[in-house]
Amino acid sequence: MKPRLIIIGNGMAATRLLSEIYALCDDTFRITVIGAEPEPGYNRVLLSRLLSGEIEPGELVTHELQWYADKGIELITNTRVTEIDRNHRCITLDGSRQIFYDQLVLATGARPFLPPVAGLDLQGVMTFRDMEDCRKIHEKAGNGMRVAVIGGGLLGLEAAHGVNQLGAKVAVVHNADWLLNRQLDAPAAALLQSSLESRGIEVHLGARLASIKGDSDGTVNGIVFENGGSLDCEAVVLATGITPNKELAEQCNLRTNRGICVDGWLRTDDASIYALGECAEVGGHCIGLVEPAWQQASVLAQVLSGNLPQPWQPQPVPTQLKVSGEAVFSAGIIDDQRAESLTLHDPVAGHYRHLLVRNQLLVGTVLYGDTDDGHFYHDLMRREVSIKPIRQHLLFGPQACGVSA
Amino acid sequence: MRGQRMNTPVSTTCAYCGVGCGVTMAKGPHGWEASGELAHPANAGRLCVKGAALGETVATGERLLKPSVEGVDADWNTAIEAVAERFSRVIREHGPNAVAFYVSGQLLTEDYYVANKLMKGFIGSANIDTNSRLCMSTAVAAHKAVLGSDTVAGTYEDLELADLLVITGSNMAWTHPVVFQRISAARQKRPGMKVVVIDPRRTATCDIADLHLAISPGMDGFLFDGLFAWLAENRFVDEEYISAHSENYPIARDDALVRFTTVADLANQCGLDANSLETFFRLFASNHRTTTVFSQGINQSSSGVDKATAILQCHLATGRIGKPGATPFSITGQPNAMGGREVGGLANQLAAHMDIANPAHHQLVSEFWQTESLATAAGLKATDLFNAVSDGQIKAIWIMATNPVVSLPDADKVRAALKLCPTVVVSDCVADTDTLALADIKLPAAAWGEKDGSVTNSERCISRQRAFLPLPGEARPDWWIISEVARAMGFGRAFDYRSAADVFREHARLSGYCNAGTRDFDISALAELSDDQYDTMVPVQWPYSTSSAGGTVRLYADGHFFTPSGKARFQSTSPRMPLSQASEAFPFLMNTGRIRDQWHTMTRTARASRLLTHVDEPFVAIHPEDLLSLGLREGQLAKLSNDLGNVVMPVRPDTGVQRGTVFTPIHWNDQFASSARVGSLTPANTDPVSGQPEYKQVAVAISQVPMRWRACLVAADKGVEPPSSDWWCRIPGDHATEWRLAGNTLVTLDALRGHLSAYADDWQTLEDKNGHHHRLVGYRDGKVTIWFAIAPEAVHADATWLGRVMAGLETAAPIALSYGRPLADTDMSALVCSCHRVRQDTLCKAIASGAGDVEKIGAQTRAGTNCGSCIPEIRSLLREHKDQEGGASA
Repeated sequence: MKPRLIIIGNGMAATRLLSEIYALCDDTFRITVIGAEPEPGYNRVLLSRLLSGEIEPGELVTHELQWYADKGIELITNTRVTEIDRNHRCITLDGSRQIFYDQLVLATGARPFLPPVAGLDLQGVMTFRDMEDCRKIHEKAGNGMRVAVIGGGLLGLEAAHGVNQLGAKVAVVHNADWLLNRQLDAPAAALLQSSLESRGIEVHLGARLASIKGDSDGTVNGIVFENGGSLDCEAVVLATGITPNKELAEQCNLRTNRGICVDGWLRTDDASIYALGECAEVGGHCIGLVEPAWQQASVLAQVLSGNLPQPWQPQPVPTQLKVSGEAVFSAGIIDDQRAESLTLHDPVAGHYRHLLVRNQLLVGTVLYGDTDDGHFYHDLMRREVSIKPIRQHLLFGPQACGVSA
Repeated sequence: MRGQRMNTPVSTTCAYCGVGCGVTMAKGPHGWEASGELAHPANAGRLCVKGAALGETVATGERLLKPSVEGVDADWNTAIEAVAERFSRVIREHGPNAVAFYVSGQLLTEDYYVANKLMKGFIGSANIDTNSRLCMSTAVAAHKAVLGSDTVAGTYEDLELADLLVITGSNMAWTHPVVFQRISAARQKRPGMKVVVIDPRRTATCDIADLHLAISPGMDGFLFDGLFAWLAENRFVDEEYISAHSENYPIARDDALVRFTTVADLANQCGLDANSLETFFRLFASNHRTTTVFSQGINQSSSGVDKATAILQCHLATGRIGKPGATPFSITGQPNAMGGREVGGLANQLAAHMDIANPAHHQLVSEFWQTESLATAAGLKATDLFNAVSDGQIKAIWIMATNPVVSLPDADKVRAALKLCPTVVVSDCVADTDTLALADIKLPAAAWGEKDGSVTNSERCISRQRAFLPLPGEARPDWWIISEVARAMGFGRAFDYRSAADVFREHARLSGYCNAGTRDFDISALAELSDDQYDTMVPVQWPYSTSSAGGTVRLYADGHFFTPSGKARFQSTSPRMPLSQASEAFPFLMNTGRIRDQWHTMTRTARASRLLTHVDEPFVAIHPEDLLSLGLREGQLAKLSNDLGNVVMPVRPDTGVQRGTVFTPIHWNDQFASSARVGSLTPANTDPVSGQPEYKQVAVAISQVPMRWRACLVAADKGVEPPSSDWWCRIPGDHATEWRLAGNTLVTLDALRGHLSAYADDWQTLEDKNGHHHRLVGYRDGKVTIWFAIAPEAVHADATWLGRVMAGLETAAPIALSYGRPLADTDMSALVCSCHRVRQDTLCKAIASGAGDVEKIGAQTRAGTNCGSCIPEIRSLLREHKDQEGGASA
């Protein structure tokens, strides 16, 4: 009998891991996948496009049910794991069914972070994380409705754009001084903001949510800021970050911190348990993007098949805002005070570049407007190429630097 | 104004070099376009890049359009009266030698004739000299000494017919491109033809050379004197011809033989390899059909007359003068230097090739002009003339169509002299020249394209320049302006001309007056032309008397010379080193010359932006090893200095210049650069006979000029005021003007933006504080109006493209805008073909992909398929490629 590998979670990290395992032609395991959502594997990254109506739900699916069947993978959807018994190498499903494992992978992902404010339970308060959230927003945020999106990060802006596309009147409420403050600097964010505003999206900066107000029948009718100000709205979308789903690991006393602690080979402190994706924490780093999750999947697939690949390390991962018509690119460290800055700012054309250099190496890149050269800069950062000889042309991209694009 | 009237193409003659090409000007969809005239004997349809761009220079912007007196606009009457009154007063108070004219080989023969007649015939002084003093007076003196008259015996065809063509002191590939193309074509047809180039520099002309003698600077006199002696010693001379047609041979020969030892010694003296020199000597001895072309490298020398004489004597001793393919050939620099010589425009000439010191000639001209005031003694030659201005002897000077503050040696002294001179009158067609800046009275002259008259090219071919444009503003032809002044001075009867044709007929009559074959210059067959005949006159080579119907292709083939005895006269020469020699304090010898696409002081060529794409800034070419020892890198600024002055220019590595020597172009001046007037370094070392200055060998010191920043400014507003700098260079373009700047005073971005805010309201900003690199692109009303970049090293933009963006003819992505060039155009290498804008890298790629000759490259890239001026550069790329291939396979 082949050893059994159980993967808890059927999100993008888990499905990628399955693909990687089969790419290695690894036939070592009997595999069982347990997913909390009703759907088979889908591309969560495209949810904002689904919301804005640019694509159909079917276009999100990456792994059809048939795929699992063809590979002989047992897929259990709509089901939660309630307990891990490390002593018996056994997990419990929805408090009843038990399955034994030889190897266990935790790919439990993350959930929306909910700010500690009153009114979260009101009708019309939503998050933006999965297909179900999308369906809810679609139902609630109709034409002309006022919707407050809490959070001006990538997810919040994508949600705001989607809701705006649905015809709702959107206000983005962001507690920092500029939008995408983890990805952009102030000038780039200002250009982005004015572009969003020209699309009809309101932006409130430095606005901390104090509470969500409701009417007598328990439906949202506004939000209140910490400074006493308020905003009328009929729905609230919370996009204030994510919380790694580490509770199962905590409950079975695996080492956890912000997420589930693993090493570069994605191993927890239990030799038969691994974790990857948004639930995992490697060397203090939790991830929130798909690309590093996929890198982890590749590493873990090899580890599971008995190899010892290069351990996974956090790398500068470029981020792009998935809002059509907005070209935003960010990679690396963008707020390093000791770095040298090269900037190109064109408020007339709505264009911005900020390159951060330390010790002749490019360490951070912010692009707004024309992001085609993002890959070039990312490549320079990844390969740690000295920019000394091309410094004068660096802001103009690969062609000017004598590199064919 | 035929073109205007009938809207048909007009045949005229090119405004630039001494080749004198026929040009057809036709109005096309983009304005006036020039094409080579098929029927013209000089070019048979060919044009060089400067000629091809003539249509782009006729715009009337930046023109002098109104007379002015002491800075106040005046009508013509007032201005003419002012000139006449001031000249008359000086003559009354101080005599006729207290006034002077300084004129130009750019004038038409008719203008020249009237100026000469007024000064020598009626003011009664010979203080009229011309900028031909700076280029041709040496050839004139040598011709007269040896041949008895200032006659170029041969014709361009001789350069094609020669079995051996010797080119010395001429980079004709760049200075006389059409003649060079003719030679190239002839050589291709006749592979047996040999070409020897004698030049201290490896120039583009060496492209067609079988042998390049990279002689030490200024040693040509020794070389040709040695050749003369060697020919005599080895009996390669034509004794029969010598005894029948010359005098003085034994003395000249013996003189030369005393100086000559061996070819090896001579080679050593000239910095040459003995075998190469012997090869040249043997080629010269064995090829009867030998033509020697010489130009400024010979003429512009303190011993130039002896150099030219030595060349003439090598030909005389071998009986090779005025025969098909066998002749010395002085090629002139300017479009009408020859015409000026014909009317007697030099201070030591009289008129119509007659001598000022010859009483018979004096008598004859006095009669003809009906004057009693004809000057009896030679006047002051250019450098002496300005010295006399400087020390106050000359109190009124009239400068026509030339820019002596740039072009004369010791140019700062010239400037100081003109500042002190009580009356400086300047006639010019452009509004700003370094000389006009010093004028008390400014007279707007008609420009090329607006005036009618004639010019004579290097092969004695008289061609018509015809007007195809109306006179702009108050501009008038020079002959008219001079005649009006003459009238106002009381000489009206003698200057009653109604047209250029009137003047020409008189000039032609004088040439034939009491001539009867005694003087070389005779065009009396043209003396009775009607106005219509003058209008339609076809090019003709003089002499053209009633006895030489159809003109004369060659002279002296019969061995008869215009000396009293009818024989040519050998001269004793004394070859001398250049007066300026490298020393510890000034260790480099500076050579100067033209570049391919510019003309003189750029007053016209800088208007055609494509002519500024080949070379757009002044430069000093230095051997790479010297650069290294000076601690300089390409593009950095270097100061060239000596006791007289200094210039500051970017350096260019060039293996074609010898170590210890440098080359700088003559063109740049205060209108285009802060410090590039090389004339300010040139001492007034003149030839004792011709008075021509030694421009080609000037000892200088070279030092690095460290600059904290270099900057580039491109602005749609041509009058843009650039930020203050320690060095600048201005490059006018069609849609924008570019300024290159350098400085040591630190400037802040805010200060720059503040300064430039007169031209823009919104800014694109590039900042790299640590890299000290900043750029600003200014917008006004949504349009790009200004582009600025500053960095520690020179920043180069494609100003032509930026100009087009500013004019709304191109769109630019923000990145490309800041970059200052289209990003798709990754070829930033040197522009080779100005006509089709093909750059070096594009050519190298074509060569690498198998385009193995000029024709294939032309078919693939279009380079070299229009004017062909860049073909030598394309060939040298082909050679380099071949060398690399060879190196790789070896």
